[in-house]
Amino acid sequence: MTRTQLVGVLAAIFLFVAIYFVFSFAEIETTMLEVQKIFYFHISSALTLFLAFGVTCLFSILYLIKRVDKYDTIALVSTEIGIVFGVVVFTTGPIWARFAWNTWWNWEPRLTSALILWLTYIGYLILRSALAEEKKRVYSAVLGIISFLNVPIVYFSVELWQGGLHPDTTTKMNLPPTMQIAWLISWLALILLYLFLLMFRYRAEQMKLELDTIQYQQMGES
Amino acid sequence: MYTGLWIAVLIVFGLFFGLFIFSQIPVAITQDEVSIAVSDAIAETNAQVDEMEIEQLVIQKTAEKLEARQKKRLRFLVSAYFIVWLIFSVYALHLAKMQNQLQKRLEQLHNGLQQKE
Repeated sequence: MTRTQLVGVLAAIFLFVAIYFVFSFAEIETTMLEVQKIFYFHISSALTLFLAFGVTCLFSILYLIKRVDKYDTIALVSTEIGIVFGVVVFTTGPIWARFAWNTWWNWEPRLTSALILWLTYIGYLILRSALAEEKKRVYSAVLGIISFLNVPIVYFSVELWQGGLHPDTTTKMNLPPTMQIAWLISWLALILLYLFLLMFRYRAEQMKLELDTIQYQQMGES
Repeated sequence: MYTGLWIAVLIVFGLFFGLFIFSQIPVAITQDEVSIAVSDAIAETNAQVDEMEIEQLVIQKTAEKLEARQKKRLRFLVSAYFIVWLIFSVYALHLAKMQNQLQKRLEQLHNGLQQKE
């Protein structure tokens, strides 16, 4: 069994365990009742998104220092997966909002700043597809670093701009123990899923780059 | 191998939904919920008959209201989890398709090299 497969199996097991803990172990919250259970995967996806963009930032810095293509590939792949986690956040969020606040969307600080963050990383992918090979690695690395500056703004947006609909950052630490355990297991499961997708996608991207190089060389020879 | 991944993704998706649909989701009804449902039901009950009948109607309406609210909550919950797994499944299938295409390109390249030799 390869490392990627091992992480994939672990992710699947933890996802099953997380589902069990969310639906059978965690107590039911008294205000939102069953709908509160959206929280476990919504928040965990948001935190995994931050992790993914953090990895993008780290490997963008490493690329700018060492100019190793591998680091650029990891940054690209992590961004792509981060955007997928963003899709999860931006679809489960409105479902929660519709029930809790009677609206699908509200231009409050956390939502607005998170949307800007997500769009910035979509911009990262667009930039890569628009530029020539040499330029795109450097420019996207710079954008990958700058975009990450928005992550702490999103995280602390409720404290920075008072009056939003989201609770502050300390709320999840004040959860009852059963909810906290269910949330931590869900987060761990999604981190493992992120790692699996990262490893799988990285291998595919490396393979694509190698095939492109070989075909380019063949074209040159003929 | 990648057809296997497609099947695995579909199986995992099916299993999660089987687990989700068939496992008993614990349900909670708070005192506030009951009070609101009872007062709503009383307000909507216009029967001009004896107290017993009114009481029966109120109980029936209250039960209907609680059931409707619970159905609404479960609809939100199921939709959210359905979307989560759908997004991950679609992305996993996209990766599997991409890997398949790369495999084909590799085979074509390999065949091309063999023909040259």
